[in-house]
Amino acid sequence: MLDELSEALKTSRADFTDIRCERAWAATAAARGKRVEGLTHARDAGGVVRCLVRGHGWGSVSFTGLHRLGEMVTRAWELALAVQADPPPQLAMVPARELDLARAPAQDPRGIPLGERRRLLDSLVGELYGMDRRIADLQLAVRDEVVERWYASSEGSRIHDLRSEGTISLAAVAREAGLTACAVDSLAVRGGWDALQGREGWVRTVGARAIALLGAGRPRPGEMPVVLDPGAAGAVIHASLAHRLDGDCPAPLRLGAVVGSALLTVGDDASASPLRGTTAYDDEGSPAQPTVLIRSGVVVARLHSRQSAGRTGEAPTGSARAASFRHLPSARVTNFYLARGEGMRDDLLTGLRTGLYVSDVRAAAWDGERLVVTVGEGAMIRDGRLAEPVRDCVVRGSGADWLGGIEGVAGDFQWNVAASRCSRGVDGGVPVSDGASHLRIRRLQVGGVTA
Amino acid sequence: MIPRLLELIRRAGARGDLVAKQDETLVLELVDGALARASLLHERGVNVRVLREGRAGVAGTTDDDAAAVVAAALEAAEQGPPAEVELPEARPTPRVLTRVPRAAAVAADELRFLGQMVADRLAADGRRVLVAVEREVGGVRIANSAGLDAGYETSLVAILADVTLKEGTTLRGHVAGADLPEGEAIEQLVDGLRRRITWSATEVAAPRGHLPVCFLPGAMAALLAPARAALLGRSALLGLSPFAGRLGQRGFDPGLTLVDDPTIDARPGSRPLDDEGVPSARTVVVQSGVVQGLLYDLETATRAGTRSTGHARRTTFGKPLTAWSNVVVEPGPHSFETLLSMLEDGLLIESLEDEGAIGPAGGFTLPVALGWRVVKGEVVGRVKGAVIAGNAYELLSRLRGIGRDVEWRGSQCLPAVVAEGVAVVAGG
Repeated sequence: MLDELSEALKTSRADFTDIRCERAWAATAAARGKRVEGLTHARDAGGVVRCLVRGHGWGSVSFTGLHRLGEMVTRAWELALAVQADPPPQLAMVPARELDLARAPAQDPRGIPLGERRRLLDSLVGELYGMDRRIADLQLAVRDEVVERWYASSEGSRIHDLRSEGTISLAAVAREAGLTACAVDSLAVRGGWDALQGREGWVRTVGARAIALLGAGRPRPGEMPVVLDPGAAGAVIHASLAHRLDGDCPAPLRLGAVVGSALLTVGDDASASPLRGTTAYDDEGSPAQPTVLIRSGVVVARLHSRQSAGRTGEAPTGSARAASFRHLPSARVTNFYLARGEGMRDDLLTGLRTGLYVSDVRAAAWDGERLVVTVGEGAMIRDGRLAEPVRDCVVRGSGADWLGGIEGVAGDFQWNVAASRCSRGVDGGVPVSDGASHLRIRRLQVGGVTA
Repeated sequence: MIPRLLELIRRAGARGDLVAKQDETLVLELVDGALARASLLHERGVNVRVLREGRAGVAGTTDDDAAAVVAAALEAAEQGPPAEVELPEARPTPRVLTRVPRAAAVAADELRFLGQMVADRLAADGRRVLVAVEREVGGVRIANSAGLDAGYETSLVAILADVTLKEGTTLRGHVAGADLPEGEAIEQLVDGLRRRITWSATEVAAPRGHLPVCFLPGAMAALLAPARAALLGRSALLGLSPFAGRLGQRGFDPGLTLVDDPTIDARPGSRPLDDEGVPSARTVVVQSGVVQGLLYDLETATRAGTRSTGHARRTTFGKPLTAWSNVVVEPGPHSFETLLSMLEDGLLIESLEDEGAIGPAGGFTLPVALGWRVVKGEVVGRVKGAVIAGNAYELLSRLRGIGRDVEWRGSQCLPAVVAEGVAVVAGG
C-alpha cells in the first residue's frame, strides 16, 4: 500500500503533498435492558490527499475506497490553485521518517467470531442484573476496532501503523420506591480481543454507583470549597485548558500568560502507554512527543501542527490529529494531564468544615471566561470527611476561580481509561485520555438542581 | 453492485434489504472573505441487512467487496436479535424535489462568490468572519429482496457564517437547502446575525429566579429534542415515552402542532421514501397539543404491532434507526416584538451548552451558551454564565406565546416560543 501512495505522490505538481489512508474494521454488540439490540459489522476504507501550493494554500480531497489515488492527487492540486490564503501557510520542518509500526495484536479481533461478542454481552448483562434487584435497565455496548493506517509525504515520510482497541460503554439504571438513578461510564483498552475480558468487576462498580445514587440528595446552593476526584479533575482541566493550548485554535493562550496557581502544571504526553491518545507520530507524520504546556501556572508551550508551528515560529510538537480520513488534521491533545502533587485525598479533605466532593462530571462547558460543570455524582464534605452522597448539581466559576483557586493537588495520579473523545468544531472527535490526581479548589459556586 | 448483493443474500437462503448512498461534498472556507481552504469529500457506502431464520444482522462497508459485506451480515444474523420484518414491495412514492439541477451544477467560483457576499455584509473592524460554503451532490438507492429498487438524487447547498466579536463571543448563522439560497434567505441570515451582534454590544448580569424565557428557534430545537425522542415508537417499546398509551390525549400546550414532513420540497430532510423503502408522507404527530401517533420504522412497527410510518434512517454503519425527517412546528399568532413584550424581566436564549444532555425524562440543568437579558420587552445586553433548569415537557405544556415567524435550522422549521417560570439558577 505504501508503494501505491509513493507512486501517486510522484504525480503531484504541488509544493507539498501528503496522503493518509486507512482501513478500519469494527464489530459492535449492543443491548438495551435484557434485549440484544443488534450485532453489526463495519468495514471502512478511504484516504485523504492534501496539496499545498505556494502562493495559494491548501486543497484536499478525501474519499472512500482506496483506488484512484493519482486522480485524487490531481483534484487536490486543482483545489489548492483556487485558494488565496493570507498569510500563506508555512510548514515547520520535521525530519522525514520511514517506519513500520503495524503489529497485529495477539488475539486479533478480526479473527474472533461475532458469537464471542454476543457471549460477552450476555455475560455482562447477566452480571449487572444479577448483582442487585434494584437494577432496572441498562444500555450496554461492546465494540472492538482495528484501524490500519498508511501515511506518505512528498518529503519522503512513509509510515505504516495499526491501532487495535476494545471499548465497553454502559449506562446502568437503578430504581426503588419511585426513585430512579443512572450511572454512566465507559472503558477503552488498547489491545486485542483479550483486552475486553474479565470486566465483570467494572460492570458491577458502575451498577453499584447507580444504586448508591438512589439515596443521594442535592447540595444546598452556595459558595464552598470543592474537591475533585482524579477523573473529575481531568475533565475540568481538559474543558478549561485543552482547546486553548491548541496552537491553531482561534484564540490560543499566550506564551507567558499566568492562567492558574503555582500548583498548576499541565502537559500532553503521546508516549504515555498504552492509552487512548498514545501514538508514535501524528497524522502528518511528525514525531509525537511529551510536552509540558503550563509550568507552575505559566503557559510555557502550545501544541502544534506543522502549519501552526510554522506560523508562530514555535517548535512543532507532533500534535496534528484527525478523527479519520474524512477529517483534516489540526493541533489537538493526545494524553492530557495535570501533573501530580503530593499526599492523598484525605490530606485535601482535612480542615474543610463544609465542601463538595465531585466524583463524576457529566458535562463541562467553558464559554471563554467561565467554566460550568454539571456534576452527576458526589458527596458533601463535612468536618474533613466524606458525608452524604449528592447528585445532579452545577459547579461554576470564572477561569480564575477554578485554576487560580487550586490550593491542593494530591499525589494519587491516575489516567482516565474512559472512551473519551475530544471534539473541536467540525474537526471531529479524536480519542484522548485525561490524567490527574485529587484536586482541591478554594471556593466555587454550587447550585442548580435538576427539576 | 446492488443486484449482486441481493443475489448473494438470496443464495444464502435469506431475505434482506440495503441502502446505498453516495455523495460528493465541496467545502470552501473563507476567512474574512478570502478563500483559505478548499476541500472535497467523496463518500460511497452500502448498508446491508439480512433476515434469516427470524433473526437480523447488519453490516456496512465503504469497500467494494460485496461478498464480504453479505458474509458479515449473515454472521451477525446468526447471533442477532429476533426480527420478523416484512420488507415493503415497490409502491408509488410522492413527488418530492430533492435535487435542483442548477445547485448541483453550480461552479465553485459562484459558490465562493456567494460566501464572499455574506462575508462582506458582515465584515467590520475587530470582527473575524468565517464563512463556509458547502455543496453536496449525491444519490440514494434502496433495494430489497421483495423486489423494491428505488432511489433519488440529492443536492444540498449550505452556508455557515461564524462572526467572532472583539471580546471573543462567536455568533453563528446557517442556511441550507437543495437549491442555491435565495436573496431573501441570505438577508435573513445576515440580518439575524447583525441583530445578535447589536444585542451583544453590552454585557449585563442575568436575573435570578423563576422567569419567563423566550427560546429562539435554535434553543427551541434543544427543548423539543426529548419530545422528539419520546414520540418515536422505539421509546414507547422501551418504556421511556410519557406518550405511550396516551394517544389522543393532551401532551403539549394547545397552541403546539408538530408535524414530520419529508414531502416538503428541497429541504435537508426531504425524500420521496425512507431508507427502508416505505413511501414518504406528511405525519401530524401533535395536533393542537394532542398526541396523534408515534413514528416507526419497520422493526419497531412490527414489535409494536403496527405499520411503519416511513421513518427509517440508515447510515453506512450500524442498524436502521427511527428518525424524524423535516420537523415542522406550526407558527403561532405572535410577532417577535409581542413575544419579547411578554418578558417583564427574563432571558432571550439562542443556544444552550451540551444541548444533547436533555434526557428522555426531560429534566435539565444547562448553561446558556448564548443569551440576552430582556427587561420590559427590550433586549438590554448579553448575559454570560447563566444556567437554566427545568423540565422540557413541562415548559412545552404551558407556552405563553408562539411566534408567527418560523426559521429553518437545518431540517427543522421552528418558531420562537415564550415559556414561563423557567428556573434561572445561576446568574452572570
